[in-house]
Amino acid sequence: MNVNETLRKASSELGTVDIDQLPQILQKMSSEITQMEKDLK
Amino acid sequence: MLTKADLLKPENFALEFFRENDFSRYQCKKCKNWFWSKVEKDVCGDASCVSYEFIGNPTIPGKLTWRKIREKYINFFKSKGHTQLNRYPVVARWKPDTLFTGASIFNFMPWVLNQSTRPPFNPLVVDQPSIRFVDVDNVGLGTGRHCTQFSMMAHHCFNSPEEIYWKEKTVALSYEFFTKVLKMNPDKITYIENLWKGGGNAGPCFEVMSGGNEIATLVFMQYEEIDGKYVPMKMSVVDTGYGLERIAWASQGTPTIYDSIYPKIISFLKKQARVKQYDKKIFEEYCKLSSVMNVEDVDVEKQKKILVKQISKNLNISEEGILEQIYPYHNIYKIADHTKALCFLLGDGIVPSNIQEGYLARLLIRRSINALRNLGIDISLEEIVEKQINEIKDIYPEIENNKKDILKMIESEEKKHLENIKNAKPIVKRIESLVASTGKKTFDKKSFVMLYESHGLDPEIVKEHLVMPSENVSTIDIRKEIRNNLEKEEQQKKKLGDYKKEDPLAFLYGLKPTQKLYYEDEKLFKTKATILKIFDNLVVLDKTLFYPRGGGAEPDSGSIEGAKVLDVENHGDIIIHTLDSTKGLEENQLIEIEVDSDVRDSITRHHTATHIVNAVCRKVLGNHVWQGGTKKDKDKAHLNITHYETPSSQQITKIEKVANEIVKKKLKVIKTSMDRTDAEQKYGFKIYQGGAVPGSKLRIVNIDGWDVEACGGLHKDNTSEIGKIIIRKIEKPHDGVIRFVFSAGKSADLWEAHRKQILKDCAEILKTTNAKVPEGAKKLFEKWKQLRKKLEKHKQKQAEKTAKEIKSEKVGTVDLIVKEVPNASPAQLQQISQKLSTDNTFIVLLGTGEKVNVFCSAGKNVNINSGLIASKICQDLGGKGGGSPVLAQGFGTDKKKIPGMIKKIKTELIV
Repeated sequence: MNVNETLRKASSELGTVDIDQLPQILQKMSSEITQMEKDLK
Repeated sequence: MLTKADLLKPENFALEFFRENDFSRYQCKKCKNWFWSKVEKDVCGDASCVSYEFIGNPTIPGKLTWRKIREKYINFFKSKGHTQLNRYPVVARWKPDTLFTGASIFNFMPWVLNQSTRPPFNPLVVDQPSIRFVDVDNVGLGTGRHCTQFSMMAHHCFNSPEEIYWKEKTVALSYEFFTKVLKMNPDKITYIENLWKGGGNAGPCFEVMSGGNEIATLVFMQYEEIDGKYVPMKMSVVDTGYGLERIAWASQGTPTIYDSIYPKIISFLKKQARVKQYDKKIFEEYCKLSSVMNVEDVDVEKQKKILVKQISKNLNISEEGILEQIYPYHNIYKIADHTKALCFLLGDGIVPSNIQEGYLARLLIRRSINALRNLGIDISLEEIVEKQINEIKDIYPEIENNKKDILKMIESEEKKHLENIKNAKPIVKRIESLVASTGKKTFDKKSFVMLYESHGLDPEIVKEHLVMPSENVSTIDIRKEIRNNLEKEEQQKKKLGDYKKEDPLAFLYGLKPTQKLYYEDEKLFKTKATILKIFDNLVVLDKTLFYPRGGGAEPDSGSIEGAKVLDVENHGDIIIHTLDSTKGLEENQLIEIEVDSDVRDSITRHHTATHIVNAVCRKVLGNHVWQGGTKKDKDKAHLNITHYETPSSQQITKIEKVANEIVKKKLKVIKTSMDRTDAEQKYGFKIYQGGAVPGSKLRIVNIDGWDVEACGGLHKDNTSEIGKIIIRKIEKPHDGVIRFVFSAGKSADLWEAHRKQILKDCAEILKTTNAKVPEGAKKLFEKWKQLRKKLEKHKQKQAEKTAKEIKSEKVGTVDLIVKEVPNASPAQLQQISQKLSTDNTFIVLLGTGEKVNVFCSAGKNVNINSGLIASKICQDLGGKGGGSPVLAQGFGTDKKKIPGMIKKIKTELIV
């Protein structure tokens, strides 16, 4: 897979989000996971 | 200039043919129109003057099917020297002022009629499937004769430069066809004298009637209509229209037109819906009387009621008994009609959406699904459309070729609409709360229209879920409202157009057309030209290298005698350059002009790439794909296409891959000027991807074997000059339209470097390798979803716990709960409220966090208005809120006021 195909696949795994926003979306998800884990404790 | 009375003068209709064939002229005792008949008659034979006499008593022998009549018609006119013209699409892409082909004459409007181009054949015969939406409310048991889609059989001849044939031969041919080919009794035919006008043209016509059925119209188009007066056209045209379905109806004598053209579909639907065979007496009576109805003049629903009352009186049967018999058939006929129209609409490239022609296709789908629900049939619309395609595939194989796409679109729309119906309750409740929050006491027509347009919910479905009283609104009222709104928009557009007309670029008057050097030599970037006109910072030259803004392409940039060119626009044949300054420039001065070759290079790469991506989308996604707007700039381009769902990542990758293969194939991009008719006949109507193009000659851009379009834009000479194409992203500007944003050439290389960085960033966040980013993203997403679910359950448990701790207090007959709930979101407050709610409770919950969330609900026995209370509480707490009498919410900002507010609620607000 080339760069675009890889990013497109990653984007579709998240429900086809804007590729340019992928790092921000992943970062946000990661932070929310940390917060949710904290809330569940 | 002539008047209507001039056109209706008897000498315009007194033909030798009538004298030779023993016809006489009579005046209708009912409508006072003049008509010709072989036997003396009191009435003209129009449906409004005589009820359908042919029902149960066909006027054409042999019970001929529409297929047989079509064959006989085409063969007859071919034997009389006419050449058969293949049908045009039902979407009139070549005609700038219409969405659909409404008659065969549309095929020649405006370009043949204004003599921009020649007719493809002359004389010709055609079977032209046509679409008319104005009659949609008449379909079914409205009049029993209106069809959304119908075939207009026609023979045309264009009498320029010399006359081929005119009135005498036209009427003689019609008479021979009806009496000799179809063996109709000559005494049953009448020719009514009338005036036809449409699309700015007009002429005398004969309406050919038989037993109340208009089976043909013979128009002698020879005038242009200007402000209600008539001036002769340069060319006179024989414009005929023979209603294929109506002739089949006359031959079969069935109660409605639908019974004669859709017998198999009707029989299938009857069986599925277990509809009893109707009482012939009631049905024939209803259908005969319904001939007088016409939605253009009357309120159909009101007329139907009058009709039922009349039949009830005539036959001594209860009105309920009549309605019970006719209503299932009303739905069956609607489905049969609409599904056939959908075969042509979707087969000819319409994608259902919420705008223009796409919206009208969606309307037919929704009406059909609602009709299926009314019948209680549990089969898919897709199945019925497939049956329709199978019925017509021998005559219209192009519809069969697009079957896969048609059925996918139907499936997708059906799924959406059924989902809307299923989810109607929360949607209606939400809108009801909004309406109540504005202080309105009834659910108004505007809200019904909104729910119909945005969610496809009929008023009847909406009313099922409403608590508040509503205006008495029917589906027909809604459609009238939508139609009125559309008309208002059109008028507004016209006004804007008129405003522009009042503000002409007067300084352009008298200037010669600009010589367009960019078409003569696309590689010429520097030359000299003479200034013809200067107006403010606008400059007009005798010739230019600057390609103007247009067709979605940005204009060239560069300089004129050192001044920067900010914009270039085309006004008719004159090109206007906007400069940053015109200081030092003079009219008649010889100056140097220079186009930025890098910008030109990028825009042309993107333009040719746009044609390629469009062609590949059609190949990968289906034949329904049509260009719906483009923009070509120096660093990127976008292409809007009509498509019913977001393409998958695999489809996008495939489109990109095939587009790049075309680049690598080094295909020639051939630009030629062609006669319009030749281009249409050679390449079909797909050439109008960018919409209707004016003029007798078309500039055709042909990418060998892949794409042919009428396009005035600048292009590369070979696909290899484009360079790499990268699809940057996909957007959905609105329903039914997908936007591909892409870059080509150097911009694509830059973009690829940017993408590499994005991938690297993603890999770092996911702590994985570049190749495993998709897998990592999937895992992270799964974990996020699981935790959210877990947290939701956790919050629910907390809500239950909180609810158990809350006790109500009795105030009169009401169980009152007023409670502050720390750290509760609006959703949590709603959950707690649901646990506590009974018929006698009035609940006010104040969730405190960063702000105060307010939630109110009233049980059905409680006479306290939640909306008003919530509004007051929120206002006092420094925020706002509202809702319906039973459910309301909002927020406040001043937490300090909560204790006082709780006291106030108990002592003042609810007492």
